[in-house]
Amino acid sequence: MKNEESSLGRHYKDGSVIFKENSIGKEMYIIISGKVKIIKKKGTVETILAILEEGEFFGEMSLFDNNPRSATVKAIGNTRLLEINQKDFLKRISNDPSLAFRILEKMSQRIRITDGKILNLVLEMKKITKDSHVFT
Amino acid sequence: MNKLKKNSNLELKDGARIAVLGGGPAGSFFSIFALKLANQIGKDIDLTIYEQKSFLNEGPSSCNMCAGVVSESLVQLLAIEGIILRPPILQRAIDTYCFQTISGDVLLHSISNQSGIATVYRGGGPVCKSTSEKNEKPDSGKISFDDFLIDCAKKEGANVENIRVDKVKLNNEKPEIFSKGEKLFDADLVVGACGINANAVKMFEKLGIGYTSPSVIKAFQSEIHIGERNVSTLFGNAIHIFLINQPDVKFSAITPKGSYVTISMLGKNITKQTVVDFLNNPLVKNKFPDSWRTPDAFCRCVPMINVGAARHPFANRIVMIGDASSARLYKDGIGSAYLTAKAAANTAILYGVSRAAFYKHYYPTCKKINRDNFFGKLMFTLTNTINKTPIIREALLTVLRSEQKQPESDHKCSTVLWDMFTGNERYTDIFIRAFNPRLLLRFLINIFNVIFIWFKNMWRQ
Repeated sequence: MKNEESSLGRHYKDGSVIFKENSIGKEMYIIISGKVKIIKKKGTVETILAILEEGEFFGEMSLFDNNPRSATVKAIGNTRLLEINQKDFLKRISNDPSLAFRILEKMSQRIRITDGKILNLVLEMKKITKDSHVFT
Repeated sequence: MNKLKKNSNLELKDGARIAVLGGGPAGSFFSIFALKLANQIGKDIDLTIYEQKSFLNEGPSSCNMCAGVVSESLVQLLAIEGIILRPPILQRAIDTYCFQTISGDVLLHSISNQSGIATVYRGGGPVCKSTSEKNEKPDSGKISFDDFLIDCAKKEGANVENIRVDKVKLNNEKPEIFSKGEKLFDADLVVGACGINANAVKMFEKLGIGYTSPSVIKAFQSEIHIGERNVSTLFGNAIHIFLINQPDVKFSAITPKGSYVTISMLGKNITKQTVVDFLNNPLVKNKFPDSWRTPDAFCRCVPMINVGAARHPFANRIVMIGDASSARLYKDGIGSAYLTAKAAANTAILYGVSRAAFYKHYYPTCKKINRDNFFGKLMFTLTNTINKTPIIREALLTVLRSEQKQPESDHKCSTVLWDMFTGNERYTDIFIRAFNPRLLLRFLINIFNVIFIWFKNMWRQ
């Protein structure tokens, strides 16, 4: 409890929703302690896209493209998040563009991981198609 | 020397050696950003931080002596950079400022509705003066913010030498650095991150590059032990600002940290007695436990505060950063260290280490801080005038209280005061917002209200 009192950011209980898919958001979040899961829902099926840990950030996409949230984010266990609003963030980047380096670096890493996943899916689909041709 | 001046196209090549003189936040920030950026563009540099102090021991000799408040904007900037402050480095997260005047007090809560400001110890914490203090000392040895930043710099690849560089000599090609009469090496870049308390600034003044250290005033910091429970219950997550018109005192604040509160005072000739008088003021005493008595001995220091700008804070292969260059007036010294260190690191790695490169890419950051301080001076003069004029002071408190009661209101006045005392925004922005016509009108109406109530009360008497 002592650490909770003297920690930065805002506290979220286990399972609490930080933001919902398609909601409008003007904040990005940095994980001070704990973990969060990024969930995407298609129909009734919920898929966990990623689990993020201490030091990682999320919600930055809406700051740049102004579109609704692309996924739902929930806390895993007791979590503390530091919230940064869009106006402050853009003001800081306009003062020091190099501030965006780390965010771009992280976003690039995420795109690479996504590329890898897409490639695996395409290969898997090709294999399934090939197997089904052999079968028929 | 002439050769140095003429050469405007000096670049750091692979294997370049950088000497960072000073391991405070400015030196560590420079090292972190320079090494990160060099690594990103595939440049191999050899960077050494020279810091004589160990920040792990208790007391002023192991401390870079300041109030130890990291502003909300800096907390966020550092978090974006991947530097996250957590206990035990973080002593307390602040979400409220309490403004105490002789007409009453008002609590201002963080606009972002989160604990966004960090309080830290720069060194290994206060010297324990009593048994109760020793018993409550945290188990974890490493609590120093400065030491934490040095560790971050080490992770990026910085070398750290616990020796004092006592001489820098300009040679035809590169500056030479010496310790105890022995030459250490020829540096491709010397970074002066030595603050203003050190003799090191004199060393740079003597170089003949035109560098003049900034003008300074004295501050007085005291660490008073009241026990962790008392800190939590009596001060909570709030920094208390006292505008109580104590003679010769410009500004007093109490910052909660662990089992201590840090008392920061600014003004002319502040002594231990001024601190004792402050603690004995009924408005201040009221904040402490009933049975509490001012201790005879407490950990204290008298650091210098940068209140002006340094002249010519750069030359070929030399750059001064942090307090030795430019700092924000009275506030956010660590934030200024971050700004100047980052600008200098970006310049050195991306544009070179010539005087021309620093003038074009580093100096604008210093000039921005210096220009902003002009508005800071105006804002502090205005606050002082308001504080000394009972009618205006009452009107201000009324406006602030009414804003705090309405969570949905625009909080124009509260945000002005919040940003000014937390060091969260540039003084220029605060100045523009303070002179918002709607805010001035509301303020004027409240002044008339206060005058009306005063006359009404006088009439009744």
